[in-house]
Amino acid sequence: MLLLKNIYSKIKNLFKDIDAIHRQKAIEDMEWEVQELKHIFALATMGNFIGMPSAPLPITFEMLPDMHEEFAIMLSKINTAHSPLSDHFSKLDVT
Amino acid sequence: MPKILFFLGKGGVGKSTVSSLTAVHLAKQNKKVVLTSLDPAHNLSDIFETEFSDRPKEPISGLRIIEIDQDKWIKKYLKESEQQFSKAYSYLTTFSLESNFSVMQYAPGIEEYALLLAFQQIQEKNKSVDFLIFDMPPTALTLKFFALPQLSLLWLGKLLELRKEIAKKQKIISTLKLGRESLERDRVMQNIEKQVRFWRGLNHIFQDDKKSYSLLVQNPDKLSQKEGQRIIDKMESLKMPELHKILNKAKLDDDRRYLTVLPTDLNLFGLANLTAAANKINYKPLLQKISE
Repeated sequence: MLLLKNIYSKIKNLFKDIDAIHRQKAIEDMEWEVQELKHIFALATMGNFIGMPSAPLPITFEMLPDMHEEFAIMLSKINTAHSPLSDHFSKLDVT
Repeated sequence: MPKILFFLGKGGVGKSTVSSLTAVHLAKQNKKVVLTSLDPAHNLSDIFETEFSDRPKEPISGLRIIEIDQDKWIKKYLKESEQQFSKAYSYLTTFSLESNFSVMQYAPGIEEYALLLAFQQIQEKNKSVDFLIFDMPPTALTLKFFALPQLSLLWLGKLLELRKEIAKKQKIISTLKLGRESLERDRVMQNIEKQVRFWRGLNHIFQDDKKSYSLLVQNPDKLSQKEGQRIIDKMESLKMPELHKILNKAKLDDDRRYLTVLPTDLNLFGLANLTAAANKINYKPLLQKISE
């Protein structure tokens, strides 16, 4: 009886761990997605600064003081701009 | 709330003259009038033979006149933006703000935005007058002035959609991580909603045919008529109220060389009886003659 309880408890913990791993992976994927959406948002708002058509400048200026995160994302994307696919491949676990 | 009259038309058709005549005529009927020139190439100082500026002057009782300094408004707006930006991004000390902002005054959208800010301030400060009259800049800038609120609302609508999508996903992440929604408010979304209210307010003023009247000044020549038609088409596409047409510099057979004919549907302002017949020089006597 005790042996059965032990086995049951171990199987339960195993599924809990699997669930936690998958949740963590889902959170990471969703966070990556949110970052991409924020990058798109930054381009739609501040694209004027890098020669892309975007919102009228008055809208950009009004929003800039609140857009620290988006501004930082846009600047960091510039660093990986020379190899845009590497980021996607790492997300898709392609080696 | 004051009635707002916008005088539009091709450069040189007589917008300043006709708007001045209208302003004087209304002031002489004991109405409180504010006449503002939004045209960077101001003419009101020549017409009234008095120097005007951003500060209102009252050359005739009941009539205050303002000439907007567009460059000053642009610089003021960019200075405020630069200060906000400096405060928010103080860690970017190597980012040369001053040189970037000095270039921004020439960026698309800034001119018409500066005029809209000036318009809004004049409107806010003169709620108790009867008429606000605006002598508008030449066609291109005028059309951008009227189009900017709608263009901004279009962009803000799309940005708000995108932001709501981001907020939805962040809510899911927060629930998965913390077991509840995050209490932090999205300041960018609040900013967008604040801007939507601002632009909707302006758009509502322009599109309200009980509040705003656009008067198209034309001359009896082909170029003026063609440009007038382009203005009408563009204003229609912006869903602005129907324009009232004014024919200026109509040539007559007798000794009177110039005539200004106003449409009869402006009778509600008592303007239908206003006609000016005079030579094109000496506006001050002309204005006095009309006001009598």
